[in-house]
Amino acid sequence: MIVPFLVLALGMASEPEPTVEELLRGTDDLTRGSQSTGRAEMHVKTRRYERTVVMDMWSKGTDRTLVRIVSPARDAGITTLKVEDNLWNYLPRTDRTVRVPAGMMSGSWMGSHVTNDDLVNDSRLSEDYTYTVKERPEGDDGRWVIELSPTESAAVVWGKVVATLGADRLPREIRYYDGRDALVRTMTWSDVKDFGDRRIPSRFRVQPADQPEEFTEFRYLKLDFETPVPDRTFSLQSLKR
Amino acid sequence: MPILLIMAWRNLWRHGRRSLLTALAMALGMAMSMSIISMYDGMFGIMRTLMIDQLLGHVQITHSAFPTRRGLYDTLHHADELLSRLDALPQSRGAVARVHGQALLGTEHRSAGVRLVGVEPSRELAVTKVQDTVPSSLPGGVDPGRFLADEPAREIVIGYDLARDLRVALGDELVAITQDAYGGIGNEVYTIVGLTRSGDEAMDRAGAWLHFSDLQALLALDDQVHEVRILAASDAQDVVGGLLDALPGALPDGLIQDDDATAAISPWWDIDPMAAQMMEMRGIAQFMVLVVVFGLVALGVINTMLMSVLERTRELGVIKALGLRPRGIVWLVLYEALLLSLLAAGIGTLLGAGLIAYLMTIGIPMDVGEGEGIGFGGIVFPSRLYGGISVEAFVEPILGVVLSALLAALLPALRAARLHPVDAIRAE
Repeated sequence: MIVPFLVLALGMASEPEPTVEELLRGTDDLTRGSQSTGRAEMHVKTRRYERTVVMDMWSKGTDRTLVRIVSPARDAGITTLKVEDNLWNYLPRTDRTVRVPAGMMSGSWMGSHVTNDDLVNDSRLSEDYTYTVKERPEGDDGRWVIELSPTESAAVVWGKVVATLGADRLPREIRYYDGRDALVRTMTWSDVKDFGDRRIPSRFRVQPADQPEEFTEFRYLKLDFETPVPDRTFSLQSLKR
Repeated sequence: MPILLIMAWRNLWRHGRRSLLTALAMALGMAMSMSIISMYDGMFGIMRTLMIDQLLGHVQITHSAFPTRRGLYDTLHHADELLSRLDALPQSRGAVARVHGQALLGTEHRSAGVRLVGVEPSRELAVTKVQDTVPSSLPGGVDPGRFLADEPAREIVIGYDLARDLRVALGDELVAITQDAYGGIGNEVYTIVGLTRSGDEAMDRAGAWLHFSDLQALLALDDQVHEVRILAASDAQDVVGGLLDALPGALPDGLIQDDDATAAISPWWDIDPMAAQMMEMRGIAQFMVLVVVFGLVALGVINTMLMSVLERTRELGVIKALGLRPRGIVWLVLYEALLLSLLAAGIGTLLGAGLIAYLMTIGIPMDVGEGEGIGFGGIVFPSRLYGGISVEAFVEPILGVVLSALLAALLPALRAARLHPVDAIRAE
């Protein structure tokens, strides 16, 4: 669910009365689409450190993403490539491309509250969960509150997910619970902006439940769905570019 | 009294061959225990060097969570000030600061999860024996290189076994990748300058040494360290105890900057209770060996002295009839045993000294293949073990042979003393 944010672009149909599936698909594909280019800022605050990372991002389809760190200087040039379930990091200082091993998938990505696994995990609210609608908006007022439980076959670590969407069908908040119904983390979206002809929330925040003073916040600085992104962007060769 | 001593000496040589044989058996037992103590001195000397000088230090100062959690952030601040205060303590031989980390270390083709230890080489040289972990030679004529230079130069010294696993040699470059203190990906290239074979299995198989400034840079730790270890001025318990008492007063303010943590001052026996137990085992093991060896010696003495008393029953009766008190008889027999044991001690000391000299210079091969020694409790012994020398190695066996002979002679002596003169003279 973090992927949509990093993976940019979208594909929301504007039917008069959306089905719940459509709403969920819209959330899944919030920033997905045929292609996108953008720049984002990631602000991480933990008990130990606070830092801001600026990154350029490219994506194509649902499973190819390239993220290159622009600043701070210490990490500038570090590039992450995601192709399907695989994740590579290119480290310019040592000129090495490292595939993130299975044992490190649960580790933090660039010190944030987003794990490597979050980047490649392609579970979808619209496919891997069964839902019950708790609240529905009336006209332009109110909100959608949808409670989701993973299907038996879904490879999902959560016990329960509660998604809140605005009447505008854009996600506002998703709460993730573990198998014992304890809140693990909350994601919130805010600051809806127009990027080209699309309206999407430009801020996205991950809040771990057990560390109330910690968070990671992403903010789009630029987002462009028009410029063509060539396929070769997502190759191991282009990592070093 | 002297007359009894002269009589005992003469009695000893009435069966010269028997006495000599017994003395020789006793001497052999003694020489054996001397060489066993010498080997213990050698082995436990190596263990002690490894454990205290290389592995543990006498006392470690850390963040209170570091010993169990070994976390990146469980650090000490103002280590420089702490070190200079420790240098001033009379109970301290010296102190070093170390940085610890974990990283993926390797080449394009192979890599392994490795424990990184950051040291300040110039300080370590004066205090620990970490430089000695790079041996002068390696099996198969492999050049072990050298330890890290005094100044940070992106050099790395890795375990010999790790080098084999990674298929790298001296001069090759290794890349370390880890998560730094700001959550970023710390990564750096280092040149291999040395291969270690320290006997510390964990470091030889999956460990590497870096200059501590290099490791601080890799981990983005600024000038923080994880551990300050102190070597006491001597191994003596009261010196280490005095050091432990003096340390709390030597800690600078702001050493620990976590609100929920304190500084932990841990003596080596708390850090590694198993090591402490192993060192204590020495006393027990040595005692058992002495008991067995001198138990056998005592049996030989009992036999000889019983024979000697039995065949002189009539003579003893005559002496008694002439007026020697039972106590005199006891002394006569004990003197004989004492002289026998002193003779044995003389021969045994010469024999044992020869054996110790052999063990100290030539040693015992303990090769379990490819120049590797036996491993035990995380320590790998060298492929050739050498004996040590100590006052104990002489004093304990000499005391052992004399005391066991006297103890063994007590029974025959009491028997002789209880003889009735008339019955004894009539006996045949």
